[in-house]
Amino acid sequence: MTRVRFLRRLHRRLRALIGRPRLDTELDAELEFHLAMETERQLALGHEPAEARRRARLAFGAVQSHREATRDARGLRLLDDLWRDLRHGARSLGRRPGHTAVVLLTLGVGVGGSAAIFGAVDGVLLTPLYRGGAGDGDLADRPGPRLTGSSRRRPTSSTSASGPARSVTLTAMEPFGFDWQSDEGPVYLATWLIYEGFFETFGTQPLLGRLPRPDEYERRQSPVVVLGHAVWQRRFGGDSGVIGRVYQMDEQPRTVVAVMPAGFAVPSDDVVWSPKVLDGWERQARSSTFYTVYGRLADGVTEETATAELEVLAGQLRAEHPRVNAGLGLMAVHSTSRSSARPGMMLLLLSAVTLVLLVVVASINGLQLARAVARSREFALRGALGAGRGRVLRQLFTESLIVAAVEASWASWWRGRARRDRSLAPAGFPRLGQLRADGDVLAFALLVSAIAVMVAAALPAQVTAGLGLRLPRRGARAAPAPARPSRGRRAGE
Amino acid sequence: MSPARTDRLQGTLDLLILQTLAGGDPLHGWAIAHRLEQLSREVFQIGQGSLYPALHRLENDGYVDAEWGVSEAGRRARFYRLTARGRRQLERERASWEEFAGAVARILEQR
Repeated sequence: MTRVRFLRRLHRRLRALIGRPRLDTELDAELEFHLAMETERQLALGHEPAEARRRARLAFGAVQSHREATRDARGLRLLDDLWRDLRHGARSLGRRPGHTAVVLLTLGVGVGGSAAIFGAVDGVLLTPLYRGGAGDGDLADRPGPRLTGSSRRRPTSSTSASGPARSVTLTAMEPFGFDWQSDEGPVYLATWLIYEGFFETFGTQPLLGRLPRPDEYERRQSPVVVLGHAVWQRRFGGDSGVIGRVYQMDEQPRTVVAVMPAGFAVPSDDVVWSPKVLDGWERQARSSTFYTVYGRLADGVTEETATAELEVLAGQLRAEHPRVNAGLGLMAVHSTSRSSARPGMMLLLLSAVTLVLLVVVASINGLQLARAVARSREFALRGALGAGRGRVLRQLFTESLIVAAVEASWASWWRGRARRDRSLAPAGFPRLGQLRADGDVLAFALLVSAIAVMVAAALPAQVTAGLGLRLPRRGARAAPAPARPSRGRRAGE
Repeated sequence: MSPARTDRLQGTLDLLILQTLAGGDPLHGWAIAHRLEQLSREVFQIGQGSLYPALHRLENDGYVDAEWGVSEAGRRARFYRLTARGRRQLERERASWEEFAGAVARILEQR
């Protein structure tokens, strides 16, 4: 019974949607018939034909609004209007390319900037650097803050783990790449060569196997490799038998000793790690600038103490090797977990975004206002034809949404480009490799564009509606006043 | 009509239309409006702005069926007819109205 009813309704809806032009014609015919009958009644009451027609029209009211109200009743109105408004909006934006371009550019700068800031905040401050293994929970839940020093220099012998830094354990890694002779042919594996204590610094245990032993950071024979979770899944089919197997990587047979858990992503889980064995000359070299250094605060040590200690260290290095260390300091980025994101920093960035957006909204507001005044004739006409105030507002919002959609896609494209072209990034930006124009950022851009444009449209819309529906414009012929039935108010009017 | 009366008519328009069609004969929109005006002794004046949306809504809900036919005067017109579902709906709305009207009457009788 219920299903039959549902099918009937579905059938009616589909018929209404597909046969819309025919239904519109039918509705017009129906309304016309009503008008004819009313005219006849007026004639029968003894009025002259012309007068009878006039009275019938008056009694009838605004045809367009009846038509829309009836479409409304059919449940198609919104869809109908949206499509019409989209076409109308696109046309009217296209008619004023200069205005449209300025609005798009202004919004683009604002929204692009905000999205970029959001991306940075999301990537650096909100996304944990690493998580513990399965069942371990987010490491940030453990007591004791952690510190990430982002340095472009390898810790030299005087600064290594056993060095003078007592409050921080330091470790480092350098970018590398392995060619792996797999069964399916050569495969490139993004690789990080790591220093002793790397995994221990993060306190993360492997999912499978064991961590590299200290002697494996010293000897060149039978080198070992640790697989990131994504690499293990994608390249090795998630096979737990992988531990202990020997693969030809970088022209050497390397033994897989461990697989890290999915949450361990330093800097990503789509990489492999292998112990770095230092050559004699590397121990002497002081100008290698491709290292990423991580530090872990000792228990009970505050971040301030650690930073001060590191600064002293940097000062010593500057004094010992002035030529290569001049002008270099240490920047500690407290960025390993959500809970440690600095509220002050967040607030500052949020204020910056808000400020930029406010300026953008204000500028667009002005532009739209100017345009709204110029368009008041159009709205006066629509009002006279029976379009309600809400209807005009809805059209303006639809136009705004077109702008927002163009804007959001543009912003996300720009962000994607900015990500590939690292030269745009400020020097020393932490964890740049982890930033991406992901869904979160795109969603943010969309939301911000929509809100900005809505807010920017609201005031002009208000003004426009007021102008268009109340003030007769100079130069616009007095439109026929909306019909008022002479016999008092009618139901629903 | 006063705004208050307009509101009251709006709330009962579906019921009144269904009742008008309860006689069984198909009627076109103008005839429905005309009959409601006559029966209410011109107290109710049904504007097209509410009549046709209501008719199409009732059709959408399956309470009335519509068919094109020829009017008494030989014009093409759309005739509305009550469906079985519409008849049940009429009974429900009538009961609900009587309950409401009875309650209002009882309150007004309090002196």
